[in-house]
Amino acid sequence: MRYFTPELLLRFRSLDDDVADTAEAAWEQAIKRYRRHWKKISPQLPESVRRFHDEYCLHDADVFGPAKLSVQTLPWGFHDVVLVAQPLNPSFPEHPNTLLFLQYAMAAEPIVEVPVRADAFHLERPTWLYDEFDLIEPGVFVHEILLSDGRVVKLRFRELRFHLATIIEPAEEGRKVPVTGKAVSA
Amino acid sequence: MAARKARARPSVPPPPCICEATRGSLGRVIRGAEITETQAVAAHLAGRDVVICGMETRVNRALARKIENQVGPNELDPPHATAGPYALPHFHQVTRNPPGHTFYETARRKAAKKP
Repeated sequence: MRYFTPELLLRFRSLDDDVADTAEAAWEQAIKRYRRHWKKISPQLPESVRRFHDEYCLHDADVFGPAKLSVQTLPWGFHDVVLVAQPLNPSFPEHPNTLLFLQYAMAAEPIVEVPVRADAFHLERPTWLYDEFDLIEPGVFVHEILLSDGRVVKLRFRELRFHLATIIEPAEEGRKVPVTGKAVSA
Repeated sequence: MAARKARARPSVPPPPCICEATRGSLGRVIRGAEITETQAVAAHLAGRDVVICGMETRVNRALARKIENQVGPNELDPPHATAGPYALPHFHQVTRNPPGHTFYETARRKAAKKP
């Protein structure tokens, strides 16, 4: 992460007001710098990346992965990596009860690091905190994601596809629900 | 008799207020009715959002933390770049349960008023 670093986040969360105030100013600067960076690189990014950036805010989403797809998962690419997120942000009510599958055609091995270990990073139920895109060279991009457990996921990719899937809710009482091919009464 | 010159009193910013909150477009946090601290904790326990509005970031942050601490273990998140230009920093429960947030205003970021 170049902008929204785990170190800066920890300073923002500091109980020392002087440290927290300085970090708040630094965070505002990081947002401005990242927006300028995004404006500069976005014309060279794939349309899917621009759409993802403009339409989704996965902050607070539950995250599963990253996971590598294998030969058994044809017709996917052998080196594709997926991340699954469950968006929880009510600012985006068009995505309630959905899972978002992010599928990356990789240009290099994914990197998962924990750059800073701190109690402020909770290990249970990892959620999406902050992310950044960058352009490495024409046709090669990177997506870095900071998760709430302190992991930084770095995905160097050539193509990003994403799929939104609606979660199937339990049926209301009294309605029949097909389960494993059978209709059962609730 | 010479008129006594009025002494300039140091200006004391008004204390922060706690308001119900809803979320709007571009990351906006929309302030609703003013509520008490006890009501704010109850609202959060019921899964709703609240926002601390005031002039001083430190005071707002401390009050937001105090409310969130009464609900349970929590963490503080700065505004997200893609959440929109009007997003506010916020506390939420580590477990996300109850799911509400305690937002607070800073010198640079303010809650929106109900249209």
